[in-house]
Amino acid sequence: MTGIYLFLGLGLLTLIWIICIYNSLVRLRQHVRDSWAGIETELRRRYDLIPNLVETIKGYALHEREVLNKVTEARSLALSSTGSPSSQAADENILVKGLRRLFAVSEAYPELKASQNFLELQKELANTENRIQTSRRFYNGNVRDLNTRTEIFPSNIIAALFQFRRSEYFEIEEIKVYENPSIDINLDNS
Amino acid sequence: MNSKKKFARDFYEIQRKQWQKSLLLFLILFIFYFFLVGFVSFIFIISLGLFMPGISLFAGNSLQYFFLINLILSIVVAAFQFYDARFNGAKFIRKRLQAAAPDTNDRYHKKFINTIDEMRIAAGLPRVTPYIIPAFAINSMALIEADKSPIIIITEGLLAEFTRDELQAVIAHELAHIIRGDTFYITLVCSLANFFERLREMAEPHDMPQGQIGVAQDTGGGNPLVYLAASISSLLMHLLSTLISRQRELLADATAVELNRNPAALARAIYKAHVKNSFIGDFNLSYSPLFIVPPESKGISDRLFSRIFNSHPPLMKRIRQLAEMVPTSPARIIDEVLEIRKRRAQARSILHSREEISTGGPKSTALLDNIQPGEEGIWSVRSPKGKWLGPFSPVNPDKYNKCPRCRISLKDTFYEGVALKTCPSCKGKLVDSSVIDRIIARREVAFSDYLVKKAAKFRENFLQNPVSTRKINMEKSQDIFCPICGSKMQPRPFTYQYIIPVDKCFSCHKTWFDTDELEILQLLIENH
Repeated sequence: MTGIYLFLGLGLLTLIWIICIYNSLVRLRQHVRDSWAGIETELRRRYDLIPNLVETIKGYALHEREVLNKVTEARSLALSSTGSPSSQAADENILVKGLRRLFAVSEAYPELKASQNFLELQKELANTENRIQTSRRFYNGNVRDLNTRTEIFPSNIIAALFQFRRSEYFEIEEIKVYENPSIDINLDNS
Repeated sequence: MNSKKKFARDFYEIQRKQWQKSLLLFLILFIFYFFLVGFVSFIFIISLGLFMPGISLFAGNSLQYFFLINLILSIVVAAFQFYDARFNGAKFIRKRLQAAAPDTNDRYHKKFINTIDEMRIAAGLPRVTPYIIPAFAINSMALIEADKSPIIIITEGLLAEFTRDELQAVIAHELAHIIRGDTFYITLVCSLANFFERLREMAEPHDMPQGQIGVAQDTGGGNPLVYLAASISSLLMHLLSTLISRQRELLADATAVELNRNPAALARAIYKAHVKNSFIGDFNLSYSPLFIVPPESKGISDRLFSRIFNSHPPLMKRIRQLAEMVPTSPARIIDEVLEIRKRRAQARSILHSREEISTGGPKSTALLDNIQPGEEGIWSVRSPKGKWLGPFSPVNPDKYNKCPRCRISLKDTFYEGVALKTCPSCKGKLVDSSVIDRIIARREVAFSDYLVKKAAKFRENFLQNPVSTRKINMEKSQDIFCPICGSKMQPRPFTYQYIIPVDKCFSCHKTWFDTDELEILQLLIENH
């Protein structure tokens, strides 16, 4: 009789333990999804800026049609990408490369560089860039928590049982719109 | 089971935990009052019993009644105090510090908003409201408002002095407090402890001196009740602050590094705040746990005694911990601070006096040597006829957006990151009174030797010799009109500490600085 009670008690404890771990895994996964939505918001901010940027540059540098087209293409590619973080990152990196070339090209047009509109966009892009990087940091932190949880013993058993998968880190390149001046006297980076 | 996680990643989870913690606070508050009220009334009744034999605590049911009344009384008092702290505490602190929302037209303020936004995303918080205190000291704090939304308050001085990565580090530190749940708790503790002070403020009529730089001045009252309240406050504070973790600043520093990945910047920021003046006005010191650097930061030692009674760990301990993360040595961090300061000083663009610009090229300072007091002419303290006009003086609409002296259209420019209007001809400046302290706090421009000399001369002639100030008056011959609202501007000293004769418009709160006056003001304060 006592054996049965003992067995039942142990079973109940195990069940509670499984529920606890399951819930914490669900919570972690929810955080990952949530923070991924955060990254998408910031990426969208960048997509919204690019058409303006392209238009502004067109006004000064008509000959750079090829680069401009490439950026526009890369933008629509990245915009339509709805895959995993790594495929999104691959698409973003194409866009980032295009933008970098765009800024390299714009160096040759002094009027463009002096244009108020262009400067504002550049500033806004740098700002968006920072936001993307910080939201990425938050996302990756959450992914790290989830992945650790799904891999360490004994919660990996529960994770395997309920098919919690590892999430992917989101790694993209930075544009570096402009270098911070060595003396950060707050003159141009807001 | 969450032992591995350093903090909750979900804001709503944090809020839930905060409530659990605050219930504990309420319990402590209740016990405190239970014993305080019980003890006082016990003594009272016993001593009353000595004179009136009819009254005894131990007859019949009176002991039970005594406890019941005591219980109800202490619950009511504790609940009232708790409610007040929860719903008025943060607002009171914000008001008391004169914290205002940042101005989106101001470059520095914009930077602050952007940085807060970035770090908020990194911390995963839905909303953080920025506020700025118009004080020159370097300090920052975080609060939780009554609606549970977090706010971060920094001083104008910090904004002017810190580089972007240092600002980011400070914000990361404050956000770390918020997500660790410290802020909610400390806001509540400080508000509870200062309940009586707030009552006193509410009772007293309170008028702040307008246009004064710095923070509110305390009215030094001699009321014994005030001292009683203050002593209960401090007793409560000490009791409650034993619940605040001693380690929280170090832990928050560590979490901040997780958010901004730059321990060196945070170490520099803390060092700067310690070295520079971190004292925010005449603010009650029992609020010091709220700040990143305690207002009385100098000389915190690491002995046991001070460990118990100080709200913050000693400076070097914090810097050492951060330096180990880089890794580097604390001495290197301090060197870096000095290096940055030097580089920024060199990067200041030099501003010339108008007299120099008009003659083209720097002017020899020797020219100022033989000017006698009174010869400068245009500096006056009072209006010519000695009458001080009220705010309803005549309006002159012809003068809109024109320089009051030269009648040329004013130009919108930026000076030290602040939007203002300048006259292209005489370089007079029209500044909104609320932004003058920003200009003074910031150090983007340096001044030519000529201006430095001029300011020194001014100090000699006016500030150090009040008699001659009185003699040299009333030379501003013409009446001038505010270029914004057309009202007559009144010649007044800038403040009574810096008697620079500016013209103030009292209907739209603008200040007109004549040629070089603003620069002289900046120089006088900078070299003070």
